[in-house]
Amino acid sequence: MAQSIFDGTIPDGEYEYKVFKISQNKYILIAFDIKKILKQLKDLNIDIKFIDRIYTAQSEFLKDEISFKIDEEFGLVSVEGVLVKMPVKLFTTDVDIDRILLDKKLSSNYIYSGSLQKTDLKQKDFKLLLFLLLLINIFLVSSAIIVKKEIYNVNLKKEDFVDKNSLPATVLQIKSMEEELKAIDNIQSAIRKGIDYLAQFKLLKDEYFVMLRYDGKKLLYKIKFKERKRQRKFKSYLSKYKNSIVEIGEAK
Amino acid sequence: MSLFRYISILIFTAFITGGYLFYFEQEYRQTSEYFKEFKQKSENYLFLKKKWASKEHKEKILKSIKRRFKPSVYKKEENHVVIEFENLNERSFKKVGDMFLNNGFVINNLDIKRQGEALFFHIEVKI
Repeated sequence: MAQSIFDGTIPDGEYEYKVFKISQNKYILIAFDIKKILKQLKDLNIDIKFIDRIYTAQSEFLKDEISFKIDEEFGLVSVEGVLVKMPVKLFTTDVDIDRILLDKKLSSNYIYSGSLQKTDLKQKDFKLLLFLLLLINIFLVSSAIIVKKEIYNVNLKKEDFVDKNSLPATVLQIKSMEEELKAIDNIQSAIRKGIDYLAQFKLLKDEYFVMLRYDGKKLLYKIKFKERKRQRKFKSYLSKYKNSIVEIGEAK
Repeated sequence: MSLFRYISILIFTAFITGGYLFYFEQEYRQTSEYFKEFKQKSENYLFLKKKWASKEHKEKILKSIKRRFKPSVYKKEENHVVIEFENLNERSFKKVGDMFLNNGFVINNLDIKRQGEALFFHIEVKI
């Protein structure tokens, strides 16, 4: 709609439009080609990055009954609130723009803001950062939930294992009971090995078994051997199993 | 709310969640290692328990020994059994001996003596 208002009144170009409220039910519509403005500023060797804001003379001198020179040939004159470009020859007073601008307080009706451009750029970066942070948060939260669930599963597995095998709940208790059984295993295995050997040892004629006794501490053998050599053979073989419980006694 | 505030909140949340994740991972590692150790120890324990502490099986064997070999003494106490055989021949001794040795009986006391051609066999086993 803004474009149609200016249709035929301004030269062709890529215009942007802005509306400023100037009083109750009164608005001002401005058409401007910001690219062209910035290009002209650039042509005047003004670095764009040092420009904070750009205002239109129309919006800034709206309420002032004023006329001033903008160069040697032309000036602007306020006619019922509308600034008109006129040759300076028609001016009755001779006021320079620099003097006018000295006391001028600028409104909030700017058409371009350098800081806004920068902020816009920053905002894009911030939005990207925000998105990345959101993704990181989602990743962290979901990972934490997964890990917590894994912990729960491991604990569940342990409970099942304990229930299934009627076990005590801690490793310490298991260790203690295992140690007890290991001690039994060592002694009982030694007894069995000793007895097995005796059963396998072939006695010669005139040799006979006299006694085998285990009193809870020692395993005592008594065998009548024909020769000392045979007794030594038996002893040397048993020395393989010789732990604290095996002992060979003299047979009479 | 400004973007800065959102970013601050998300950074704060990321730190807190990251902290929790780190804590949970440590907890998971410890729990898994503990379970692994627990399982391994338990399996060793269960193996030894089965080998030496299975009461029902032992009672069956003892009944069978009592029925088949008719010991001269059979005294059953709360935690142990005392059995004695007089004049046990070598064949029977071998059989009864195997039954005690191969069925996880914990031998508390043992006495085997020659009795002429036969054997005297006294055994006290834990049940």
